[in-house]
Amino acid sequence: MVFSSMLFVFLFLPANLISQIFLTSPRAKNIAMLAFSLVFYSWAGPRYLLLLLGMVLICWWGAIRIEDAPDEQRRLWLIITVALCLVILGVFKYLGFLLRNVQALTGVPKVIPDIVLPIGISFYTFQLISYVADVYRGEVEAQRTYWLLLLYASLFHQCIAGPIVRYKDVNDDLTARTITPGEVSAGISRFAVGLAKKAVLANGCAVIADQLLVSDAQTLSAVPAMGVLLGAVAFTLQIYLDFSAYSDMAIGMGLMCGLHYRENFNYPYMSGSVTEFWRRWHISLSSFFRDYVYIPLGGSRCGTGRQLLNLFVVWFLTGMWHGASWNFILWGLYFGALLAVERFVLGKEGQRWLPQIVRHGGVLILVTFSWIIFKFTDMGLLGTALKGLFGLNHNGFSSSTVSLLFRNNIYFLILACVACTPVGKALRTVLRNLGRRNALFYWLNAVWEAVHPAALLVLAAMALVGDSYNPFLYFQF
Amino acid sequence: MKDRRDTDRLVQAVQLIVFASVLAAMCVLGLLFFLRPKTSLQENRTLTEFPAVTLKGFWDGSFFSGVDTWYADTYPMREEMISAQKKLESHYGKRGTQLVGTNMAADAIPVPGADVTPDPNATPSPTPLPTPTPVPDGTVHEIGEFNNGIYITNGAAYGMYGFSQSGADDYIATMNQIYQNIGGKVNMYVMNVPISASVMLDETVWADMGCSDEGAAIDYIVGKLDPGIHALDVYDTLRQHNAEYIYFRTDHHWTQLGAYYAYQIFCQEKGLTPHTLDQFKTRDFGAGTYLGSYYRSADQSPVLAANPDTVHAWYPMCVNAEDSTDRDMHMVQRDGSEYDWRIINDMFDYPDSEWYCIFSAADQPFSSLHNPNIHDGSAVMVVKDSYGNAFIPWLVDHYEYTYWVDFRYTDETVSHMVETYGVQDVIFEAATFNATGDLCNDLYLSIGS
Repeated sequence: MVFSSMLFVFLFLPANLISQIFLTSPRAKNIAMLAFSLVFYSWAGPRYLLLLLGMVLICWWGAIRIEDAPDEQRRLWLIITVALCLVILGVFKYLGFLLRNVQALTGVPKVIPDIVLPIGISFYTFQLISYVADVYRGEVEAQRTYWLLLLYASLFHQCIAGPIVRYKDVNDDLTARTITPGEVSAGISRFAVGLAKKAVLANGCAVIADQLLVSDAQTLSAVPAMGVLLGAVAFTLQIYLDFSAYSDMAIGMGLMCGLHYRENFNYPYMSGSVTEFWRRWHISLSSFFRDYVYIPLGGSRCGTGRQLLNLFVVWFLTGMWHGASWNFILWGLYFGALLAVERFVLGKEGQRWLPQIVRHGGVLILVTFSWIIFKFTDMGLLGTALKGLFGLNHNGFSSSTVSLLFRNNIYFLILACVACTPVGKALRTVLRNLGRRNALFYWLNAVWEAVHPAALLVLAAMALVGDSYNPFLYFQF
Repeated sequence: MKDRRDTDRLVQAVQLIVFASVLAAMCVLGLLFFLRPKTSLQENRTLTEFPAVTLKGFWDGSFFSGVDTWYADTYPMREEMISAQKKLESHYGKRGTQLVGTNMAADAIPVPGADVTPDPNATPSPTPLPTPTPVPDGTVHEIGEFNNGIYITNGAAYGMYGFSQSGADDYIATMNQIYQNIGGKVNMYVMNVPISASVMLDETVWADMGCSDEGAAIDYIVGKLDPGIHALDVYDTLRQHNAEYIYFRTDHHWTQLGAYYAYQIFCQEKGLTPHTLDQFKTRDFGAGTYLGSYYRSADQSPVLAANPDTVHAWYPMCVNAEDSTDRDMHMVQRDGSEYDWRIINDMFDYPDSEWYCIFSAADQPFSSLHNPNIHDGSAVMVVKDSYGNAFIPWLVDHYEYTYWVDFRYTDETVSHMVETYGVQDVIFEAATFNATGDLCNDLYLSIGS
C-alpha cells in the first residue's frame, strides 16, 4: 500500500487514527499500531512479512546478546548481527545484479534466479542496523520486548519510504506518548501538504518527465536537446516533490499519533554547494552513512588519501543503496567526485570566492544532471539521453512539441519550482507576523489555517481518483 | 493576548473538525458500495471489478493490489472528480494550442515502388480521377495545443499518425493473400482512411511533431497491393475538401460528409454514378452537445468543450426517413443477440459522447440491409472498422443487399461470407492506423484465412 492511494487515505488512515484516538493505554495503542503496520506491509504480499519478522528477530536477539555479553564479545555479536542483516539485504537486493555481471564476464551461471526485491528492505535494514549499532555504543538500551522492536521497524509511517528513523529518537514515544491538540493540528497540516504535493505536483511533473525521458530508445533518440533538458528539469522537480512529500506525510501522521520523526529534507535545491545539498537532501540517509560508515572509517581526521578513500567508499555505498544497477553506482561516485572537488580543490575559500547566484545555479545544474544518471537504469538509454542533452543525436536544438509542452505547463512548472523553495513557509510567517498587528491579516491567517488541510485533501483526492483514468485507445472504440 | 490564544485554539479546533469531516465524508462515500459505478462513459470501458479471492492472489499480493485498483477505479462520483481535476489542469499553462501525451516512434516510409520490380503483365492502374474543381483550402497552418498524443488547435483536436513498416507490410501481405483467395470470385476494393490531422493540418505542423506522412503511407500500401485489387485512394480528395466539415473536431472519426467523398471515389472506380447530396433527406443529431473520443483522450479539454460537434446525417433513399419506428436493417451483436435496427438510428437518445454510433448500428460483428427498391440480386460486403459506419449509408442505394462486418469483432472468414451471401463486391475499409496496427493484423489474418 502507498500513502498516495484512495484506499489508504480514505479507509486505512481514518481507521488507524480512530484506533489511536479512542484507545487510551500506550500498550493498546501500540498493539493497534503494530496490527495496522503489519497489514500495511502485507499489502504487497504477506510473503515479504516473513522476511521482516525474521530480520527483526535477528536484530532483537543480536542486540540483547550485545548488551548482555562481556565487553570482549560485544564487538563479535555486533559483527554477526550486522553481517546477517547485510547478507539478507545483499541476497535480496544485490545477488541478481552481481550474478548478471559475473555472467556477462564469464558466461556463468547459466541461469540467474529471479529474486523479487522485498518492499522497504533498504529502509528497515538500515533502521535495524542503526539500532544494533546504537545498542553496541551504549546510546540506547536493547529492547527486550520483540513486538515493540517489530513496531519500530514496521511502523507504516516510515517503513517503506523513510525517513530512516533512529530507535533512540522514537523509543520514548513508543513506550509512552501523548497526543496534543497543537501537534495534531500541525500533523494534519503537514500530512495534507505532503499528500497534495505528491498527488498534484509530483505526479504532474512525472507526466511531463515521462513524455520526454522515455524508456524506448528510438523515441528517446528523437527528443531534441531542449526536450531532454525540460524532461530532466521536470524529473528534478518530481523526485524532490515526491520523496519529500512522503516524508511530510510520515512526519504529519506521526504528529497526529504522538510520534516524532526528524526532518528528512530542508529545501535542498536552495543549496549553495554540493556539500550543503547533501546536508539538506535525505538527511536521515546521509546522516546514517556519516555516523555508521564514514566516521568509523576515520572520517576526515586522517590523511588526504584516506579521506578520499573514505569519501568514495561512502558514496559508492550511497549509490548502491539506491538500487542494484550501475547507473546508481555511477550516480553515487559522481557526487563523491563533486564533493572531493569541493573539499580538496575549491576548499571553503574557493567556494566563497564565487558569487552566491553562481554557486546556487551551479549546484542546480550539477544536481539536475545527476538526476538524468539516476533516471535510467539501462546504460544504453542513459547514453542516448546524455547525447541528446548535448545535441549529439542529430535531432536539433528544440521542436514545436517541446515548446508546446513547455507552454502548456508553464504555470504548473513555476508552481512546482516555488514549492521546492521556502517561499510558502516564508509567506505563512509573514502572514502570521502581520496578523499580530492587524486584525484583517489575523483572520486571514486563521481562515487559512482552518481550511487549507481540508482543501488540499480534496485537491489530492481529485488527482488520485484519476490515476486510473484511462481514455480509450482507438482500437477499443 | 489571551483572546488571541483562545482564537488560536478555536482555529485548531475548526481545522480539526473541517479536516475530520471531509475525511469522514470521503470514507463513508467510499463505503457506499451501491453507489459505485460499474462502467465509465468517459473512458468507454468497464471499470475494475473486485478481485477474486484466491490463495495465490493473497500470497503474492495481487489480490490486495486488485482491491486498491478497484477501490479507486469505482469510487463514487469518480467521473465528476476527474472532470474537476481536468478543469484544474486546463490552467496549468497556455493551452489555446495544446498537445496531450506523447508522439509515437514511427518508421520511415519507403518511397513507393522503389523496391518493386516492374511487372510487365501487371494490370494497368485504375483510371486516374479527373482533375478536381478547385475548392477552398481549409488547411490549418497554425501551431496549436498538445494533450496524450492529441494536438489541439483552433478548437479542434487531431490525433498523430505514426507509420509502422512491419504493420504495413503485414497488412499488404494479408490483403494480397485475401485477394488470392477471393479475387477470382469478386471485385475486391481496399480503402484506407486517413486521420483528420493528415487531412486538415498543414504538413509542416504534423511533420514538425514527428508524425508520419499518412498520404505517403497510403501510397506505399497502394503501390504494393496486388494489381488486381481496386485501391481507393481517398487521401488527396479529402485534403482538397478540407475546408468543409469532413472530420469532427472532438472525435477521431470523419463525418458522413467526409465519407461521401470516399463514396464518390468508389463510384468512380466501380463505374457507378454517385447520388448528389441534395437527393437525400437530412437531420442533425447531438447539436451543441456532441463531445467525442478526442475530448476524452485530451483530458476533457475545455477548448474542445467550447467547440462541440454536430452529427449531420443523410438518410439513404431506400429507407423511411420520416418514421423512426420503421426498422430497415438487421444486426448481430457480439453476444450473438439479433435485432432489427435503423441504419440512421434516430429511435433513441444517445449519450453526448456517443452520437457517432447512430450510423450503421456502430461496431457489430455482422449487419445487413435489404434495399426493397432493387431486385437484381446485387450484393456488397464491407469489411470495416468504425470509419466504415458513416460510409455504408451511401452504398445501400446501389445494391439490393448490403452486408457489413467489423473485422475486430467477427470470427467468420471473408471467403466463407462471400460464398454464403453471394456478394459480388467486397470493400475492405480501415483507417490507416488500424490497418497497419499490430493489434489489427492478427484479426485480418484470421478473417483472411
